Amino acid sequence: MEVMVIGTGADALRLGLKGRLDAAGAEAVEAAFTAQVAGAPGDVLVDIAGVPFAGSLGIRMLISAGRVATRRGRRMILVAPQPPVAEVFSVVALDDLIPVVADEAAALALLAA
Amino acid sequence: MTGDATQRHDAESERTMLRRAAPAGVAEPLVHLLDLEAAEGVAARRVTIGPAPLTIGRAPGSGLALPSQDVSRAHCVLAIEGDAVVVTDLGSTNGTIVDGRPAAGPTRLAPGARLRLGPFTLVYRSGRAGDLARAEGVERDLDRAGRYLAALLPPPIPDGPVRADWRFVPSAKIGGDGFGYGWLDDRRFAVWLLDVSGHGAGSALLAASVMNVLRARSLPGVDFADPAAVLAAANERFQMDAQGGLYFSIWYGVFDPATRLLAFGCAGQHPAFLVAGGGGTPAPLWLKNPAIGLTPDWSYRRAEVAIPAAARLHLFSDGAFEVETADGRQLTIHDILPHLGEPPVPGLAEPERLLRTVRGLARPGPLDDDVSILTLDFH
Repeated sequence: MEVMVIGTGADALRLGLKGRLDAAGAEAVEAAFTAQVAGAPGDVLVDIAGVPFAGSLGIRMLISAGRVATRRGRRMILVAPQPPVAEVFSVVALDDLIPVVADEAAALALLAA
Repeated sequence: MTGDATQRHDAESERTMLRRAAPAGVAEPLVHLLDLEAAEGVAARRVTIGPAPLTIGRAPGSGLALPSQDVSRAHCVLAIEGDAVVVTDLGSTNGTIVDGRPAAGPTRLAPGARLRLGPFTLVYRSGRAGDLARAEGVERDLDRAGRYLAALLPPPIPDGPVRADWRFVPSAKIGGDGFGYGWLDDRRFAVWLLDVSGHGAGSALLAASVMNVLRARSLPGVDFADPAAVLAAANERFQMDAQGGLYFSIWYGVFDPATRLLAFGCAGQHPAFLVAGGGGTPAPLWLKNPAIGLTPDWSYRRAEVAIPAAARLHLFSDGAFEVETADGRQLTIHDILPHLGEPPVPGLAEPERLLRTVRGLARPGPLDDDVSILTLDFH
């Protein structure tokens, strides 16, 4: 499990998550991921196309980071979940708490709206 | 006072010095163990892998003799190489399966690796003797936590208008599953199943807290016949910021046999499934709400469904479908659904049938997460 900074464009910070976001995966990246979100100069796009599985602790990590962003007046958007992950997000209603979109264009449209 | 303090300080320094003088730098040697799980009438036992290679086979003279026609006379050999143990198949008929894959050539075992020889499973453990003892202590404590959770579960209900039966298999790490059911009064029957995030003692503690609250119906001013009210009150009580970062998903339903209506609420949990009498496609009972504790002030919704005669309701935790197959495939809820509506097996309780189905789909060995399967029959 790893967290990557993909880009620091003027419109948003782009982060990428890669690997299984299970208990071990969340533990491995939570501190680094949350620090990136907390330190972002603006809104944050998180590309999760490389995440094949998200468990309960992975979901908690995303929601906690989303709260950190909200407290700082930023938005955090999850981009490009694989279908099984999108389904889990829907079951736990994570997509009611954090915006989840299919691709970067949709994310940028959301930020522009 | 000052003098006393100084003396104490001196005494502590002395103890520290003495400890430092204890044999430092002499590393405790690695211990390599093989735990045989009980099978085919052979009791569980532990074998130490020593400096001499350990042969395993059906032959009585083997280092470890396993009496089964599916084990070859000389099946495989294990030997220490450096810090690791390497297993080599000795041309056995059925192969030496390491973590689900046949060992082709000498294969290094990772701690926790599972060897399958015919009907037998052997788990490899390695570590310093002190570390192994500590790990076993933790395992024993988690085992106790699992037994405590199991003690909070209600007995099956064999007859009456609502019958209930279940299977609960806590995982070695404890997943924090819990469920319960019972009559709220003389006309309404409540049922719920929850799953706390994460694993381990923390998850088990929160599961036990919530189960005790629901069992004793101790949320002040809350109508336990109203699923939305129960979820809202639980969400207020169990916010994750005040619960060590833990949260839980829950499905909660209330059935009234007089009206045959089932009111339910669902928070972050996958659906429960209703199967009409005579089988058929299971109908998902689900509402979209975040899990309990994730976000304050959520307005939880409830729904109602009419229960046909002789219908059956299945509730289960995600441990019953988020399993990995022998070939490394991750299953989802869609893999278990076709099995819900299958005809019952005579003489086999319905939750037991489903548990066996899950075990059949998953790779051999213990399941990764708690598995809870609860079946209600409405007459």
